[in-house]
Amino acid sequence: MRLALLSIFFAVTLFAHDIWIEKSDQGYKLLYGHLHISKEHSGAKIIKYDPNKIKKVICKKGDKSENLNVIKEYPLSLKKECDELYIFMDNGYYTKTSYGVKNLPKDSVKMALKSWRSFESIKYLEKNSKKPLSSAFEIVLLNNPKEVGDKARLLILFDKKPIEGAIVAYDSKPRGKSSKDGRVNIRIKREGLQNISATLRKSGDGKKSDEIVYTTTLNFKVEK
Amino acid sequence: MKKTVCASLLVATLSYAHHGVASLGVVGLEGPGAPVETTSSAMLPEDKFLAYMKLDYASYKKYTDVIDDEMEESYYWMYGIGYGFKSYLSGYIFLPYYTKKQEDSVQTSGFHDINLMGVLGFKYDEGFILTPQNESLDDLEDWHFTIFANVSLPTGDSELKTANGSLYDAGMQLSFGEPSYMIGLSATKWFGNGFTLVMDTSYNTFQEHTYSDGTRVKFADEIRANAALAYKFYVNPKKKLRFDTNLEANFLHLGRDKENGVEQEATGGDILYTTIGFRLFYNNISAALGVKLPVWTKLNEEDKQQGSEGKEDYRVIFSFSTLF
Repeated sequence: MRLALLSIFFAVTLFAHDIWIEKSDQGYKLLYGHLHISKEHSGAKIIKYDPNKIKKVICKKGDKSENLNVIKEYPLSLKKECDELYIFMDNGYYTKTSYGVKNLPKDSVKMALKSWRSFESIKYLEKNSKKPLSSAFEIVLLNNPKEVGDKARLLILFDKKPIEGAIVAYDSKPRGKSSKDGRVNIRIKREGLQNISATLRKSGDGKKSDEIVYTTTLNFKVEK
Repeated sequence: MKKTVCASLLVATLSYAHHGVASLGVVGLEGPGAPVETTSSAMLPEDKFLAYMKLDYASYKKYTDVIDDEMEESYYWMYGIGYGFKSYLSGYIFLPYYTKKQEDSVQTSGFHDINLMGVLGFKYDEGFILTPQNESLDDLEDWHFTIFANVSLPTGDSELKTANGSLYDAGMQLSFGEPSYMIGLSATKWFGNGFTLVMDTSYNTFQEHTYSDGTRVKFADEIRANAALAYKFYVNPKKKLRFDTNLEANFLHLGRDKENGVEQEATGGDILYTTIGFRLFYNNISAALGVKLPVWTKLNEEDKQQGSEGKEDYRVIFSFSTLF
């Protein structure tokens, strides 16, 4: 048995904001904020992000994957057809101090209370290859849920290996934890754009950050 | 008159910390509830132990003012330890301690027959599968089932004698005298909100035993069917505290006991109980308290069966368990 109790603070910091990819006739758009606003998950619908934090964009079409050089402007927009689109961001260091949270490493601020480094990624599925696109933290959808009530059967990978203990959330609400073989099942509860997130925490160097927080999101659509 | 070993396993449920980190075996804030009397389909976490204690206290209705050997009350204590061999396979050893009191201060008290129980857990998720080690909250909404089998070994004393040297009635003895066998099935459905539906049924059979005075007794077979609705009434995530209420219907069918091959009068019948209770989860501890009342009876010789099941004023059930 693994007794893994989370504090309220921990849960809130994990899933305080959403990242998602919006698909339209104009292409893909990367957005940040609160996708599905509720009593428990409230705030501004759209929050501006720094496009310079985007480090990698991978587009897979058929059997071919390519790294895209994108114009780093807000919001990130792509006019390209992809079966799968993967975006990786390095959000840098965050340090909580008694006078607020700073986007700086622990050794660069005074009165540091807690610090972490944040890596974030997101994948949008048009067609599901059931394979990873990156060697970073990633969610692989192993089946093709078609309607509300179906389960999304997920494989959580880190460095292309199954990872245990990643906390997986649906619509920002944690629903489970990945098993030894990286597996976890999440039930589809709404139609439209699905937003499934996984978070993994590792120890930092103690100097610049106490821990490293990896977050990855999976987007795909369910029509009914 | 016989009192059976009711092996309701009120095991701790899979649980989730606040905001839902799946954590197998932690008595928790999210996930299915567990009733007081009806057997839940929750399995023990792999490589974890469960320490278990239960008291089933019965106070019987009395029909005469004279001292005429009417059964007054009984205390059925059950001490047990369980182990999760696999996420789908749990084993238990139970040691009962019974006290049976008549109105004239006559009583028998002591350890009854040891019980060994095995539980196989499975669920339905696009087909039947063994209960997996890791389940999300969404997985916990699937129908879960167990098949359980129990054998009691005649480790208790079936030769207790009264002050005048004669054997106590078989129903007052502290052993069935022979192994007994039980097989059962449970089903649990958590609706993903505060409600959990739990059902179980079991069949218990006994072998004929010959006492030292030559009397041969075969206790009647029993069929039980239980249904329960548990409701998550209160949760305090900070204190890791959860409080559930439970409403149960407990049906018991008793055949007739046989003595020297002859079916005995004033034994057997059908009883429907209702159990109203609550369960408290705190960290990895679970405690339950319930009042069990006979609400309908159809006993074979109703007016002659004082002190048997169905003739209670009330029963009080208390259980306590902890995972470690």
